[in-house]
Amino acid sequence: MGSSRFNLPRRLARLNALWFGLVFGAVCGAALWLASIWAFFSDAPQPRRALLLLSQYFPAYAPTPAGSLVGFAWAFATAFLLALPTAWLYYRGVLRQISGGGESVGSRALTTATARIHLPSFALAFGLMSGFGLWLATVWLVIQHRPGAPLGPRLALLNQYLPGYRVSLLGALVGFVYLLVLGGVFFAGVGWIYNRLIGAAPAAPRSHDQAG
Amino acid sequence: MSDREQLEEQVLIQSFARLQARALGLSLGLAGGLLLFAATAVLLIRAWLADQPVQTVGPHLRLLGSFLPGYQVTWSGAGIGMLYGFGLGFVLGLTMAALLNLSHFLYLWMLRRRIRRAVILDGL
Repeated sequence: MGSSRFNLPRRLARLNALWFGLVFGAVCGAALWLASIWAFFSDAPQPRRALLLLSQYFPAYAPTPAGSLVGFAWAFATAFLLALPTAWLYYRGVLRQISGGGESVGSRALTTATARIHLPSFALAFGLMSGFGLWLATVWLVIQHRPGAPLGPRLALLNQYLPGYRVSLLGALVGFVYLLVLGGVFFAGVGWIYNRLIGAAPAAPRSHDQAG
Repeated sequence: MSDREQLEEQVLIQSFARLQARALGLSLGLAGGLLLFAATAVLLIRAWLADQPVQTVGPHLRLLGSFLPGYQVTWSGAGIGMLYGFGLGFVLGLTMAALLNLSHFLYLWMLRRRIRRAVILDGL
């Protein structure tokens, strides 16, 4: 019993990470599937052309009914693999900071307690996810590049927002740092607004922040 | 209740705490709206500083107009983009929170059923 109690935060972090990964994967997969179907039936060619760029990352993907299913699978897998470690990192951060000093809240609290977002863990985890996502996208283009062909001309446009970013191995690191910081700030903002809104709500029994 | 039991209880509660779907939707919506507005505004300000015509700015970001009717890389388009960003972020947050809450609810429901069944079997 003692050892299982000792491992409880780790196990729950894994469980929550798995759930988050599945949910995020499903949402991203469904979004790409919907966009693909919409583009397929759309009269204008631009949406199809724009979505077709994704086939650089997702082989066999196309904005067609069959290709949209391939897109769903790719988007689901990619989002799941990105979200799983992100959520694990977040929940580990949250659960490790809980101290045992709080008062008892009763058995019903398990189903009625409202989660507040622990800002440092949230910003770090999702900042890392954003940074790693751009790093992966850049490195993938570099690896796939064929001599003579332009190297990631569209992704390179990000340097309009991120000065110094290039589609190269060094640029991938620069992009990682940029999105780690910018993604961290963005998601810290999301978490801050969320916590404010929760704070304004009548029932907000416990806080991740209280423990931290 | 011992310190260890209190700790265990808090860990469980934090793990299964509900996300407020509307709040997550609003926060992601606000942040998403601001992000799209800022992305458009940066291009417009750069064009203004370089004395470029607005029509030539952000040909790739303009492609978003294919998915978000009415969106353009102009100041009015930035406002429309903000509304779209808010709407998409809101739907994303709402959906994510609802699905995560549902997964927690189903897991706890399954656990309760298992425990109830075990208690009944123990009583036989």
